[in-house]
Amino acid sequence: MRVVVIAEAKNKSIELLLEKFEDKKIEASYIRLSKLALLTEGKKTEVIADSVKFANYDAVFISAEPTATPFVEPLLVELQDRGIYCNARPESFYLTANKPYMYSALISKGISAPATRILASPALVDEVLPSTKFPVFFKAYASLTQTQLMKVNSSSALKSVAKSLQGKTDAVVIQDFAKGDRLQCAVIGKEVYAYRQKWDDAEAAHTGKPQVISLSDKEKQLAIKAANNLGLDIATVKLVNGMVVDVSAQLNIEGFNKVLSKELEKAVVDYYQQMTGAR
Amino acid sequence: MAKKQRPLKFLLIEGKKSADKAARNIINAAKRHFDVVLSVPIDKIRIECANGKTRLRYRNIDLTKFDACYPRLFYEDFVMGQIILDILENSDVFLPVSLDGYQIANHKFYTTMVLGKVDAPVPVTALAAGQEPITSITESVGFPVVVKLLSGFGGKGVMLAKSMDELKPIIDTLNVFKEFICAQEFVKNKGYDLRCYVVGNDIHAVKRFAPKGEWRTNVSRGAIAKQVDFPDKYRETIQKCAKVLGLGVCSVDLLEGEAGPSIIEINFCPGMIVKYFGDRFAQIFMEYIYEETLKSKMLA
Repeated sequence: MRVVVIAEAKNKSIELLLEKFEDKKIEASYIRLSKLALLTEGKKTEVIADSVKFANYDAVFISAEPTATPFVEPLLVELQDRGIYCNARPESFYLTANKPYMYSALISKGISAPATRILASPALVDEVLPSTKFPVFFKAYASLTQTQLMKVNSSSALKSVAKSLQGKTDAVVIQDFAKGDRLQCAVIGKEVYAYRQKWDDAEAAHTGKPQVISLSDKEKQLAIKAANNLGLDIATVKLVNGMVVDVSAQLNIEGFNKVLSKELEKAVVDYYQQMTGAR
Repeated sequence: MAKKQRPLKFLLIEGKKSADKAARNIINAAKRHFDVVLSVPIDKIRIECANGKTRLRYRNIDLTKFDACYPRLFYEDFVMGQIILDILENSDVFLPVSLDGYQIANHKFYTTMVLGKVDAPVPVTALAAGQEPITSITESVGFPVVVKLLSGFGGKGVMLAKSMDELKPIIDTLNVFKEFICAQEFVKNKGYDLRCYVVGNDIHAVKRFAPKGEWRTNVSRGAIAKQVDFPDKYRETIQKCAKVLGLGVCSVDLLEGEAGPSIIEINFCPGMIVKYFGDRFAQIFMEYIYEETLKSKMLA
């Protein structure tokens, strides 16, 4: 197996991954995302990647921010067409970069997530008040960027927050507040590694020292199902009270390793070997 | 003509850039066929997701209970547009367009890549994730090069660079705004393009002549439009382009270059050139949507 690791920067997580590929005597090249280009000429699309010849590789590991979606999505299609294995499939970045779309997709696929109302404009808040039970999270988005996140405890507060929103708003999400500790899950194929962070009422956030936990089978399956249904084999999934509250295409290997005292990079490499049939 | 057996309901969803005249023409054309016609601006839509269900609503109306919907959505509507199309595709509403088509047609490089794969004639096109690959890209694409914002429309965000000296400030500007760089071969043409309105199996062609001193052929930039007989030699190509994007209605823009035809872009939500053609294309689009709705409901 030969792997290309694509990332926006060679951070510690990426370094750990590259070292592990090397330990296992697997040829792995790193390329910074900003060095990449796609070139279409007739039927053929080439991946231009500095000195890396994509044709020689049979797997890609990609780690990119949601803002890279316009480049990553056509790249994922090209990789799939060439039969090159990648941790993300086409559509996965469209889904995880657009959070309102992600919530809609999860719930429509029967994946447990907090009840979510998505409004095209904050002016529609009055329409959802009668059916809203408080507290809720109020989230506003301009393009794919979250511009506002607040916990709101009453109708009057919600109306006030909506009214005070300034600037471009493409969507507003009013989501049931899922009370409980947050489970931060690293999904790597069929394995899930997780830690817990307690909810702090005073801070209105999940703060405090992360604690190692064992997930129940149900929680494990939920995390895997959420990632897979959004087109991801490797992902970070956040659970609160048995519900999915977020899925990200990126995995902070370094962060998880520190808390869990594990080597998640080994799990990633093992998974890649399994997926490419390499030993 | 197909017969209907029960009242039929049509929904028009108007994106943020929807032109009033075009929308009015569509509504009036729809009223000739459908018993109930509702036009909803996108910013009046809400989506309720709970217990495994997603509901698309305008006030207390469930929008998935319509028989047909024509969502005239633009890139500016992307956040809600993806969700709306996803819900409609998974409902019983007849849609003359698709979510895939919306995502691809609103991305100039992605469009070219997908059309190239089905052997449609496309200009050499590149997409760079950063500034660094630009030199090697422009060597492949060649000068003059057309630089495009991925989601520009109406000729906006389309720039021509004849040399690296002209290209560099464009690239620098795009970088400031954190835009990806799409560079395309300049197709030398005869001063007009062919806008092909695809309506099912039919194609209606309009020649758009660029005004003097302008190389872009958008009517909004002063181009003159004239309906012409559609050249049958392009039929298979144009239909293939619309089909691969899952679009029953769209427009495909073709340039007759010196080296042969080139497909430049596909419009998910084509302007209807009301200035020159009045409600002609609205009538044609709605006739198609009506007939297909009947077929889809097995009322034909």
